[in-house]
Amino acid sequence: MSESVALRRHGMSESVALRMLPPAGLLARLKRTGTDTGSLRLIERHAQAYRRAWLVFISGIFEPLFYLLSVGLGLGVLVGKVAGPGGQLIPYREFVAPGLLAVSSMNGAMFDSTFNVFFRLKYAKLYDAVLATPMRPTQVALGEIGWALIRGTIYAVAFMGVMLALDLVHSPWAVLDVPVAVLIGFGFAAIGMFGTTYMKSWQDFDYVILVSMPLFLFSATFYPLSVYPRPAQVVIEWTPLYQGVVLLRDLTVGVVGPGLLWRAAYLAALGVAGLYASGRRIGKLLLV
Amino acid sequence: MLDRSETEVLVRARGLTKRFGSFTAVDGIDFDLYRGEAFGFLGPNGAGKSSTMRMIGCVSPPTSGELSILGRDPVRDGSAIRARLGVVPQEDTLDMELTTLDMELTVRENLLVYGRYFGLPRRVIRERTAALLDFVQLADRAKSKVDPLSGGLKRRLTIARSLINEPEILILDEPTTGLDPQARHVVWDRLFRLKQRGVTLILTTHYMDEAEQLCDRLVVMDHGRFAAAGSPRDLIARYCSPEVLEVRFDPEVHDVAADKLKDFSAERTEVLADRILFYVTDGDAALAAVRASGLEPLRRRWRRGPGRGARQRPGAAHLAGPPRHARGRVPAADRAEAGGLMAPALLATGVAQPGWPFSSLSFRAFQCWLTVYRRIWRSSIWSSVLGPICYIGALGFGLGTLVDKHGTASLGGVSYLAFVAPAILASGAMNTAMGEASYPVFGSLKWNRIYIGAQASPLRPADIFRGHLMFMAMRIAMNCAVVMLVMWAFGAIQSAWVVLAYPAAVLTGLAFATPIAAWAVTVKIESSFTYIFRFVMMPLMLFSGTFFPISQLPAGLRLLAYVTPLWQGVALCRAFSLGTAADDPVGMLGHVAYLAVLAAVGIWAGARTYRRRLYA
Repeated sequence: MSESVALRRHGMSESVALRMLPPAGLLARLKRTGTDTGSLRLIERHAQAYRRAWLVFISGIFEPLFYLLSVGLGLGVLVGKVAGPGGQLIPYREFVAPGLLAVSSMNGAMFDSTFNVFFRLKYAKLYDAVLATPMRPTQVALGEIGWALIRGTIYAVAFMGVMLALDLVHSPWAVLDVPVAVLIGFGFAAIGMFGTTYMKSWQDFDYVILVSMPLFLFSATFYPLSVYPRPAQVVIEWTPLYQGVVLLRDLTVGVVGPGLLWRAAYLAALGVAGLYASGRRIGKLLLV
Repeated sequence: MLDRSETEVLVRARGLTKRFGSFTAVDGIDFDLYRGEAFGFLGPNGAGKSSTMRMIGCVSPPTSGELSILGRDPVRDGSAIRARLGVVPQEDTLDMELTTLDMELTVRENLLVYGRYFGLPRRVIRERTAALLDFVQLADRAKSKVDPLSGGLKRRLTIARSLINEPEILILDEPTTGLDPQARHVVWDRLFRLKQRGVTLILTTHYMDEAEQLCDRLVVMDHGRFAAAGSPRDLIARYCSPEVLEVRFDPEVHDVAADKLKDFSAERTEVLADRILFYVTDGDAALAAVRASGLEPLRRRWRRGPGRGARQRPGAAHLAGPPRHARGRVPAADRAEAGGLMAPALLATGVAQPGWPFSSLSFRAFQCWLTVYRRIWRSSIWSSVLGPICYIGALGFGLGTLVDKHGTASLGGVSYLAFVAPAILASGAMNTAMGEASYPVFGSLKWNRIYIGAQASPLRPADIFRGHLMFMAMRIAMNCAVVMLVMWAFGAIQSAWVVLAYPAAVLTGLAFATPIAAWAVTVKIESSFTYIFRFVMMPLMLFSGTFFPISQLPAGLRLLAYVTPLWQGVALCRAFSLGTAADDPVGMLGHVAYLAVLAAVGIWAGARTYRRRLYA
C-alpha cells in the first residue's frame, strides 16, 4: 500500500499535507492547527465522558439564577442606583449582572483549564494515551480550550436567559454578550492551561485562587471603578477581568464605543498567547 | 527464519542516544527491526528499555543518533508515523495513576474514543471494536466501566485499544508486568496469535521466559547499552553457566565480602543488595574457594544452571541498586506523599493522652493529618489570609461606599463594613468546614487512601472520624482567627463582646463539618459534592443574611432563612461583633443550642457512617 493511501485510510491526508510545509512562525502554526480536526477528537472524548454527567452540567445553570436573585432581593435594595457606563444612574442589579457574567466566564474557564487539565495530565494520564496516536500537543491544547469554550457558551447563553427573564437587559447590543463571554473564557482558559503545565501538586492550586479571587472581587465587578483612589484605578484598568467586565457592562447597558475593540483585542491576545505557549509546554512535558 | 535480504526494515537505529540532563538512559544503540518479526528488549528497570520504546513510539525525541521508523523521521513526521503504530504503554495495573486507559469511559467507549484520535470513522471503529473485544475476550464486559476490571483484563483492553488502527508495528512495554501467572498466559497467547497473523512486535520485558515465548530476536540491555543479542536459544546457550552459587553474609560484612570477592574466578559475579551470585561450572569448588579466602557465608545455595529455568539471571542485576525512573518519574509507591503508606507508621506511634471525648486513638489519627498539613501549609496559608482581606476589603469598603451613601437605616444604622464582616466570619467557617469535610474525606477513602492505611492500625473507624474531625476543627479555628485579625485591622469591630464571636464562628464551622463528614464518607460519586455546593452551600451563602438582612426577603424565603444553620452563626457573630448580644440573650442561647445540637448529631452520625463504610 502506498503511503498516501495508508494515510488517507487514517483520515490524515489534509493534516499531513500541511505538515509538509516548513514551520513559519506563530501564524503558520496556528493556521495549521486551525485547519486540521485533531482537536475535535478530544472534544468528542469529553462529550462522551460527560454524557453520564449531564445533570451536573445542567445544574450549573442555577448558579446565575441564585446570584442574580440574591442581588435583586438583597444588595440591590441596599445599594439603590449606581452610575452606569454612560454616567446615568441605573439600578444596582442591572449594574452588577454583566459583571457576574464576566466572573462566571472566568471561573468556568479557569476551572476547566486548571483542575480538569491537571487531573487529566497527572492522574488520568489522558494525554499520554492521546499523544501515542497521531494527535499533537497543540491539538491537545486547542481541544481542551475548545471544550472549555463550548461549556462556557452554554453557561453564557443560560446566564443571558436568566438576565432576560429578570428584565436586566435593555439594549440590542447585548446580543454580543455571549460571544464576549466566550472571549473572556478563551483568554482565561488559555492562560490557566499554561499555568497548569507548571503545577506539581494539588496544593499549587491555592495559587490559582490567589490570582482569581482578587480579580473576581476587585475588577469593578460589584461597584464602579470610581470607588478606588486613582493609583488603584490605573492598576485595575490593566487587569484582564476588568476588560471583560467593561465590555459586557457597556454592551448590556448599550453605551458602546470603539474603545471596546481594544479591550476585546486584549483578551484575544491573551488567549492566543496562552494557547500557543501551553501547546509548547504540553509538548515539553510529555514528549521528552 | 526470515530472509533478511528481502524483508523490509521497519525501524532502523544507529548510535541512538537519549539523555535526561546528565543521565544517559540510552547510550548509542544500533538495531534493525524487520517486518513480521518479534523483537525483544530484555533487562532490568532503568536499563533504558522504556526510553527506547518511547523514542520508537515518537513521543520522545532522540538526543542524538539516527532513528528512522517506517522510513520516516520520528521528529518531523511523528504524527504520521504514530498513525501506523500501536502502543501498549508500561502500566502499573494496581495504581490508577499510572494507567492510560480512560477511567471515565466504558470498555467500548475507550476503543471508540481512541479510534477517533486516529481520525477513523465511527462505523469502522464499531466494526473493529466488536472484533477486537472478541479477540481479547472482553466482549461480555463491553459496557463495563474500566475501573472495576482486573489487572489482566485492563491489560487486554489496552492491547485491544492499541490495535484499533490496524497498526503495522505493535510496541509493548512490559506487557505482563504485574499480572498473575494465568493472566500472563492469556496475554502471551493473544500476542502469539498476533504474531502468527504477521503483526510486527517490539516488546520489553524483565523475564527471560516471556522473551523466550514471544521473541524471534532479543537484545539484553543494561545501563543503556546492549549487553548481548541473538535468538533466545542462542543467548541461553551462550550465557548460561551450568550452576549458580548463591552466598549470603552477615549484613555487616556484606560490603567487605563483596569487595573481597569481586575478582573471584567465576564466569560472572553479581552482587545484590543481600546476596552474592557466582555463575560457575562447579558450585562445590566455588564454595571451597570462597571459604579459602577467609569468608564464611551465613547461608549458601546452589541452583541448577539456567536452561529453561533461567528466569532471573539476565535481569537479576536490577535488585542491586535503587530503581531509576525514566524521566525522573517516581512511581506512586516510592513517593513521599503517598499518604496511604505513611499513615500506618504514623498512627502506630504512641502519643500524649488527651482527654474525653477524643481518645488517644483519635489523637493519633489527628497527628497523621498534621503531618500531611505540615507539607502543604505554606501554599494554603496564602489563600486563608488573602480570602478574608479580599472579601472584607471589597465588600466592606468598596461595596460599603455605595451602601453607606444610599443610607443604612435597614442595617440598623451601622456601616456596611461592620454589618458584613462578622457574617463573612461565620460563612467563612462554613466554607472551611465544607472544604475540609467534603473532598478530603472522600479522597481519604478513594484516592490517597489514608483511611485504608489507618484501618491497618489499631484505630477504629470512629477514631479515624474523630481524628479527622479534630483536624477540621483546627483548620476552622485557624481560619476564623485570621478573619478576626482582618476584621480588627480593618476597624470592622464595634464591641469587646467580639471575643465571643470567635467560639461562635468555630461552633458554626463544626455544625457544618460534622454532618458533612458523616455524609461524605458514604458518597459514591464525586458529582454529589457539586450538587451540595450548588444547591446547599451557595444558596445558604447568598440568602442567609450574610450580605443583607434577611428581613428583606419575601415572607416564605425569610422563614426558610431563619431555620438555616448558617443564619444562626451569622446572627451570633454579628450580635457579638456589634455588641447587641445582650439585648436578646435568649435568642443567642437558642442559636448556640441549635448549632451545638447539629454538631453533636454530626459527631454521633459520623461514628456510625464511618463504621458502616470502613468496617464492611
